[in-house]
Amino acid sequence: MNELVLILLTVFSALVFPGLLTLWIASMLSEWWVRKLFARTQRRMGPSYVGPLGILQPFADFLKLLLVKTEPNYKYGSVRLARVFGCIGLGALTASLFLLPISPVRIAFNYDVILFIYFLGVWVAVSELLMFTSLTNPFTIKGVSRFSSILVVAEPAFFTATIVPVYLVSLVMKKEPVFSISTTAETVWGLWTNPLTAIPMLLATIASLISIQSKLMFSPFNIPEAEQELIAGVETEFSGPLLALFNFLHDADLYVLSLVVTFLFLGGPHPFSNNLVLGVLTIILKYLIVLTTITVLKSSFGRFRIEQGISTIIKYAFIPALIALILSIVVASFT
Amino acid sequence: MTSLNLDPWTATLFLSSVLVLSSLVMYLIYVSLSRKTIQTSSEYSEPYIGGESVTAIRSVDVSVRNLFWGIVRGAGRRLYTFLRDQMHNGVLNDWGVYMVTYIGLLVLVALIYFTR
Repeated sequence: MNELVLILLTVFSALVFPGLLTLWIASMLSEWWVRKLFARTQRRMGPSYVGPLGILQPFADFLKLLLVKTEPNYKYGSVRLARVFGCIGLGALTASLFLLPISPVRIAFNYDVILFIYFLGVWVAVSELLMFTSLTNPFTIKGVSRFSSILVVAEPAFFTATIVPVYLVSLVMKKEPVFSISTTAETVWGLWTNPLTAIPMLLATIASLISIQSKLMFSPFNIPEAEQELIAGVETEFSGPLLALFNFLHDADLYVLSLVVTFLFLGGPHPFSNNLVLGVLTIILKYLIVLTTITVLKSSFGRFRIEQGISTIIKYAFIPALIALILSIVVASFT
Repeated sequence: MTSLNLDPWTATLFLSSVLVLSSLVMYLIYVSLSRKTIQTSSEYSEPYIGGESVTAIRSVDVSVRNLFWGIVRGAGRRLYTFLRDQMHNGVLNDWGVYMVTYIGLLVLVALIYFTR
């Protein structure tokens, strides 16, 4: 009986909360927030017509692309392959949510951070790259070349930054299970109250935000899509339902990565961990702060050239993340 | 909330099953909702190359050597040349040997670690 309940709960978690359905709704709402805020910084209206304040516009865009437009019938690539990799990317994002303390079925064990990096770092990035290359085009390949170059530095920077709070919680705060995402999310706030651990935490937070910016191809790292310069870069051949799938994958990546920062760096529901309503409101508030920071960064810069983009990620994300990790090791060795 | 304290092997299998399940459901939703292709003209299946026909370019595909060029230009040129020439030279057999050796090494490390 218990096994049956566990299986049903797992299926519910994978498909409803925090799985596909919630992923879709939260991704679309995040897209609305980014689009609206980005438009307001440019004195435009942004999404306005569908729903109050245009909040339903991303849903309408998604459904129109999926239900009304037709898929390309492409001679030089495989549309089916692009579909498969788009879906695998979404599946990997869903799987990584099981390690955060929002899932009804939560997985926590020693060193589960490795599994987290495997699903969120390897599978999502590989799926995106293979989805792009499934539809060949000179502009796409140029965009993929730029995207893969960015990932070479952005992924290590993000996961080095992620390891900092995990390391400090395990070795300074001595929480168990060690090197666990879930344990870190529940106790990370304590690191901000200690001046010795607050410095590496600050560096790691900055590094994670900049690397998210580059992983999501937001300005100034919108080099892989480089509108006008490369037509639409990696997205050149995407249209109709396939474009809807890619937009969903991109927005879901934005949602999950921002949620990771909310939990692993900002402490999730803290200080209202014991109050469901206030806890959820706190998570939403912190999530919106992360999303707003990303959008403000996006609207503050013009597009870099690829080598400028890579050196910026190395200077402001990878090196701070490494310094934060070294500081964490030093702090842990003295406590 | 159910917290599962699994061993790494079971947890990997569990999360991989979640990945497969959610990917499969997403794929089925996509296939059942999206509209089938209507071929209107031959141009519809051509790649978009700024209005030019495919014959205007030497190849629709671009060599894998062009991947990672941003990194190569900034740093790692020697490392990249070494990797490309020694490990990924485009010969499938060499690639197979490299992958089998690498995975074999991983299995060896795993066996040594778990059978201590």
